[in-house]
Amino acid sequence: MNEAVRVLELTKRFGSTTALDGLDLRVRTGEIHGLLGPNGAGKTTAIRILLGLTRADSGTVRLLGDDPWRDAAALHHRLAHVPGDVALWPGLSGGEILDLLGRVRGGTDPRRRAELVERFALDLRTRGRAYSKGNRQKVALVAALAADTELLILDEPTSGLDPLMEEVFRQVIAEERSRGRTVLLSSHILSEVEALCDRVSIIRAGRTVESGTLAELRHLSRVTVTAELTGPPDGLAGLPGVHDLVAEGPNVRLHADPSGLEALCARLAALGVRDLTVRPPTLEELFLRHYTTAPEADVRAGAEEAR
Amino acid sequence: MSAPAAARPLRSAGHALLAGTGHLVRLALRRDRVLLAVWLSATAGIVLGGAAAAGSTYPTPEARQDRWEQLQSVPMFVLFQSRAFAASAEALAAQQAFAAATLCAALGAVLVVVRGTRAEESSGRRELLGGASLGRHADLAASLVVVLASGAVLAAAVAGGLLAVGLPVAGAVALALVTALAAWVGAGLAAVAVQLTDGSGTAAGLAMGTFYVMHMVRGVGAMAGGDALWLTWLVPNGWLENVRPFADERWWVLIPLLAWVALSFALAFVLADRRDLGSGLFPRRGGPVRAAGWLRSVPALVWRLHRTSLLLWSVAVAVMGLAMGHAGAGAMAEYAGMPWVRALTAELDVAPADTFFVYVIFAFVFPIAAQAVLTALRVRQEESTGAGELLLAGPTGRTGWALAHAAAAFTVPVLLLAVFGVSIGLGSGLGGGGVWADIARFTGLTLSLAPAVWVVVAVTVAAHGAVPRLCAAVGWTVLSVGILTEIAVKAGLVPEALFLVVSPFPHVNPYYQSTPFAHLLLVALAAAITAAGMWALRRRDLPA
Repeated sequence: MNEAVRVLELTKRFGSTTALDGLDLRVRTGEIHGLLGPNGAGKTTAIRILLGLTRADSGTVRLLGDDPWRDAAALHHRLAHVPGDVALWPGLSGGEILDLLGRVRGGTDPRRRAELVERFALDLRTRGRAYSKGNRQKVALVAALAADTELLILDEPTSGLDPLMEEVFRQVIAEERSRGRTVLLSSHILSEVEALCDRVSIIRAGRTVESGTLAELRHLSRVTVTAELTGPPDGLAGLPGVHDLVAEGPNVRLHADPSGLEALCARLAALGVRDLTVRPPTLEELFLRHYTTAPEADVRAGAEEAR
Repeated sequence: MSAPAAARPLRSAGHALLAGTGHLVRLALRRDRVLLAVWLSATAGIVLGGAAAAGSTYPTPEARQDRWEQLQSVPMFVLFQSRAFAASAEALAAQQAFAAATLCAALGAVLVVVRGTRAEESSGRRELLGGASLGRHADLAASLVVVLASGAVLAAAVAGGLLAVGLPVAGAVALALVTALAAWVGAGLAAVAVQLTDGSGTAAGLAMGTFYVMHMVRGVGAMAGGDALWLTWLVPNGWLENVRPFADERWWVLIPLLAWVALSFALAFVLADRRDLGSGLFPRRGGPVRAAGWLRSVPALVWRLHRTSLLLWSVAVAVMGLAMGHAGAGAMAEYAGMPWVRALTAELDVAPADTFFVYVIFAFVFPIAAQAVLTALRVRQEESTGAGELLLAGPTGRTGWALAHAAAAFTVPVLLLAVFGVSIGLGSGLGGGGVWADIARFTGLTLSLAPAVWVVVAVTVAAHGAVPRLCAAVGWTVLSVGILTEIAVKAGLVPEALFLVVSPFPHVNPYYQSTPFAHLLLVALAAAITAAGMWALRRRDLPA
């Protein structure tokens, strides 16, 4: 099995609102896959369907080769999940919760647990009602990581963590990949996805708009070119694939489609170049490109409500 | 304290602490509108219903005299309800309504104050508003304003209603003030309790528990009488009783009551000054680093979640049972020959010595059923808070998860009924007669009621599977229908046939010719309804 998650044409409606509208998602075994989208894009709904908690209206869902709706409890032995908004039992201490969740799974390695508790600096004596959001998340993270399963499903796992803990989280996830675990990581934090993920699926309004490695996504995107020329920037604006040209004296700044780079470089060379930077787009820029020009505003608003 | 005052620039420190109270009052009225409506109408209904029926319940001077003697002879009525101070119909009605009305008034006030203060704080919503220009004590002040106003509305409704049925003005006003002051006393207790602990449930339990204990202190003093009568002056509940509506009212008792309310409100503000937002004055206790060895499954978790409330309920039920068994046995031995006892005996078709117990035990099945419904609703709370997701995303199947919670809801009433039976038997046996025989007899009787409670629990469980958002409403409605039809049948308002159709409770009552067959039918019905609920749960989204 080289695909841990395979989702095709997934739809889910809650009453009159559409949460998922033909979502596609493929996660290969052993990779860290980022599920990227703004709040309300349908990330949590998609994860709940993968966990067999929510039933899909239509589409194909395969998780570790099985149907999560039918085989939920059996499949869950092989995966661990951290919800986006972790709720704990108010009267139970963190230590009790970790023990309970571990034992329900049939036991976890106490050394692994102790190591994770130390790395995440978790106070186990605190009761559920007294934990802050970040600390509740750490309890769920330690429980999931200690479970030692083939698949980890993490729903915005760092949204309450401080930068120090975020760094610990990144290290731990990187280690998990090297141990062969598959990770599905939903996030709207771009730097996190950029730092961790092998491949990314960008979803908007319940639909996958783009999917691939970061390199592939960049390939689809315009690069930013800044240059200081020796002569006037003649003929640049007319080149195919060149956009948003700004010229101030000898300095030019423009966006270029990757397909137009060859012609652009030739032209720049002919004009004479004193200084040149070509920069791939940051994920922020990719993100903005996909979410600022949002048609189907109604569908998106609906998906937000559904979350 | 009004909204415009909050919007103006704040001059004094006192203003600053209370800024925004007006906004919070409106928020509380919006948030708790259902609670307020149910609370006020239930409390007013208890008083007015009793007063309206007083004429028909005790139509003749002889009937009133009988009741008067009954109140003198059966200490239970004084212990749990109140003393009577005159043999008039309206004074007897006030006696009968006192406990239910003051407890209901206090309970609503406690809930309003806890929901407006500690619950808002623990949920973090208070912090959300903290950024707005709200004074530190605005939430406490707003809750107390809401309760004070509600008390005034309640008093007006009660007084108006009593006057409308033609009762004397002085007594009507006195009983109305007793009801309102009970609410305010409850609010004062809650306002202090929420400063002490950091859990909203604990605070509500602490306040209501204190009110109930004070009610019982009053009862013990009043029941013992003579030298122990000073006990009734020790607690505000005794003062409330001593206002004596319709029996030569003692207006001056209102002064210490108002002073108590004012002092408890002031104490709450003083305590609120001495603590941080989110914390209580009692230090927060840490928990264990490792879970106990037995905490290794979902049923074990459910036991862990319910054990404290189960223990408290068991103690309360045991104390009641012991007191009733002991005092009731004595009263029965002495008064088994009285005409009303003989009538009840014939009606219920039981041995004369047991009549009183049968009557009380059937009344007690309702609070125990309420605790069972509360236990059954926990699974919904687990679902909507999200704590259940931690288990359900692991290798816990949803049916097993729901069944673990359902099993607790089926077991809790059995345990409480057993405790109740054993303690009545113990109390009765110690009062004279064979202890073991009494325990066996009464436990058999209390346990025979369990199948009726199971049906109510099963409907709640099924509602969680089929209509999750409505399951609390469905559970409480089924129980309320059982209670209301029971009262209505006794008052002759609805036919027995209807009672037998809409409520499971008559089928475990010997008066309605219950047979073991009826018990088996109820068990089968409960099982079938539960199974249907599990079937529905397997087909729906979680959370929904």
